[in-house]
Amino acid sequence: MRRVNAGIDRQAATPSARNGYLAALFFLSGMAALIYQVCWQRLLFEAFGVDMESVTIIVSTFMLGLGIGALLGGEVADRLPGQTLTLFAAIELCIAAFGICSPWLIHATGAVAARNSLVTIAAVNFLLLLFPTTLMGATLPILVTHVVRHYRNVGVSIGLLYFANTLGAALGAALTGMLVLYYFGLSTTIYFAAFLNVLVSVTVWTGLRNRRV
Amino acid sequence: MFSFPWWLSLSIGFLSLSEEILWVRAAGFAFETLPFAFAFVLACYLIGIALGAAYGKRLCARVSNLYGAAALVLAAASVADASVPVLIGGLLHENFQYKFLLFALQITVTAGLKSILFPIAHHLGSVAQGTRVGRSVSRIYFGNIIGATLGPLVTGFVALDHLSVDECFALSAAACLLLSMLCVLHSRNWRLIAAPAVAAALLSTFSARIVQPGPGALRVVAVGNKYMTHWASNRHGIVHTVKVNVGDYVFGGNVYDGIAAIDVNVNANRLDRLYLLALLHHQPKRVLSIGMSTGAWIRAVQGFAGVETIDVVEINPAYVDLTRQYPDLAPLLGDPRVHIHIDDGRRWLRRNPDLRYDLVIQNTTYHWRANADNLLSQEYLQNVKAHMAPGAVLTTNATGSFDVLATMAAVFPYAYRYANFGYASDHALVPNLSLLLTLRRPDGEPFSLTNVPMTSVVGLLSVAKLQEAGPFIASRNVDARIITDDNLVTEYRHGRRIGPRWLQALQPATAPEFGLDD
Repeated sequence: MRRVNAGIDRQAATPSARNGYLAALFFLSGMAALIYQVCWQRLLFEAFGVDMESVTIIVSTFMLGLGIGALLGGEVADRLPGQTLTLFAAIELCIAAFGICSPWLIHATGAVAARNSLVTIAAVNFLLLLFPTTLMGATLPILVTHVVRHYRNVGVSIGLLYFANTLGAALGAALTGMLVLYYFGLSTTIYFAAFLNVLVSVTVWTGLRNRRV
Repeated sequence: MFSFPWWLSLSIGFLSLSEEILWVRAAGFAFETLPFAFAFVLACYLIGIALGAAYGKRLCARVSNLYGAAALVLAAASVADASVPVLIGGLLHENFQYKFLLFALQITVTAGLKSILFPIAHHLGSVAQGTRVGRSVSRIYFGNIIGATLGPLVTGFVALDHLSVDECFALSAAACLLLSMLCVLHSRNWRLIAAPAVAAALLSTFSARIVQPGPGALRVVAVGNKYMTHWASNRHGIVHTVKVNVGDYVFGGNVYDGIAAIDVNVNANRLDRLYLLALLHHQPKRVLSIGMSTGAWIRAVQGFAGVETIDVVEINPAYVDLTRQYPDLAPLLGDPRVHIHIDDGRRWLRRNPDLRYDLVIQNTTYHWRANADNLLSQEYLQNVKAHMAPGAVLTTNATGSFDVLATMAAVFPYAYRYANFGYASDHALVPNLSLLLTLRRPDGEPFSLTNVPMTSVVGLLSVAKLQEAGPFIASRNVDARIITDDNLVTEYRHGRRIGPRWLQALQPATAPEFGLDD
């Protein structure tokens, strides 16, 4: 990887180097996503309850948001084929913005909504998580649409990106639950995830300008 | 839209997320519901998914008959799922050194095998060129997410309410087998039918071991499994009891949760900690108990003089069924003053902002368990305080945590420690032993202050002293922190440590605890 990066300082990166570069960024994006998931899940337990109903609502809402994001991401990527990386960078920035506000948002919403019925709690959870999870879900099809231009093979493209993203997610989950929360609170941990999103976004913008991605 | 690859993608999402729920249940039980267990499962599961996706990518690049490859992978996934209960039940025991490794390997392998199908399903169901690449990928991915949404719903809400973890893994194995056979049909390579056939043969061999009533493979990691008397598993968790000479020990999520015993002379579960509360309030009318366990403490509260209402909030209905099993405790269920609410304690308080109580009892679980801080944090105690009438008293099982005492002292003007409990109020507390004579014992008899063993409730209360929380903490020179919803200090920083030594070396030092008789 170091050798590849050294090369791209002098000239535009080769397609495979670009994909490796993107995979590394998607690794960080996945890491941030799981840091959020672990912390948000905990904040939502505090706000709405920790019984099986709440747990299931939270997990399902996460997945549903990712699904809607997946559909929208593919649609947008096809309509703006030349803008896929710009979209990705903008999405990462939006996730960071939500992340920074999320501890306050979840506490404030929970204070109002927890007194209501399970249906209301489910609806509130869904609305709360819809924005960030849709954005997270959109990133994979957007990046696959970009990378498949090089590989001409959907399986290879999605395999590469999914591998990188999920490996980052695994590291994010492990770091959060086994180390970071032993030293820092939930808010600080969330801000660290937001920093990762900003880092990814800025790197993509910079990379676009320098023709690295 | 609804092509076979779409359904394959959906099925894989369903089975993968269902299995995550099963692993959280199984590993949570094996690792005493420590917060570590959830992170451990999630990390191993995601590593499996990542490795599976990477291998799937290789297959997409090198194999022409991907349906055939999928059939083989799914047959292997079926065998892996079915072998989970067999390996856990066969290899694990109390002193098994490689518990983490066994769980890590099984979680990674079962998740990884299914994840191989993820790129394959996308490859088979999407177009690689043209203007619809994004849409075609999205649709297959969306199918996967639909399955991943339904998986936790069906498994968490329905399957775990009726089936054991073993049986759920067996169902997952059967589903993989069915998918494998469907892939053979699509591959048109009939020789491949041998793979699901071998898997089916192994599955039928394992089935006798898997489909058994009760705890199944989890029995081997259940505390006190040799003397188990009850086992209740539902979607809320697992409760089991173990026979000992003083009464049944109760375990929630494999963690000690009290004793089903109410003899005030034997005093097996230190009822003096509860009766001390009765000595601190002259006329308690309304009592709130967050948590119920076997109901032994509620049974004792029934004998408090003048009590008109006892609200009990319990998250797991299995405890109510358990109480019914014990003739000494069951009468509390027929008492019109006792109202049992199946709900999350924290949420129930928020939903009932106008209720006020004279006594609040929190005989809650160990401070190091996952989500324990939801019932110990400063924010939560402030909410409890808002539900306390003037002069009311709160008692919380601090389970030896200095942080719990420090938090009580931060929220209440007066906070004390007795045994491993904390007591708090808006006024100075002084026990009045004579109030014991106004109470009835759980067996209906009055208390006597003479001729009692020193370890009995009366014996211990006759010498009981409340120690002020602040000076007590200062005298021990410990790092006691105020627990907040943000720092979760008793679960993480000062929580119990398990896991590999190298990992523990990276974590901060644990905090000391105080004992029952310090």
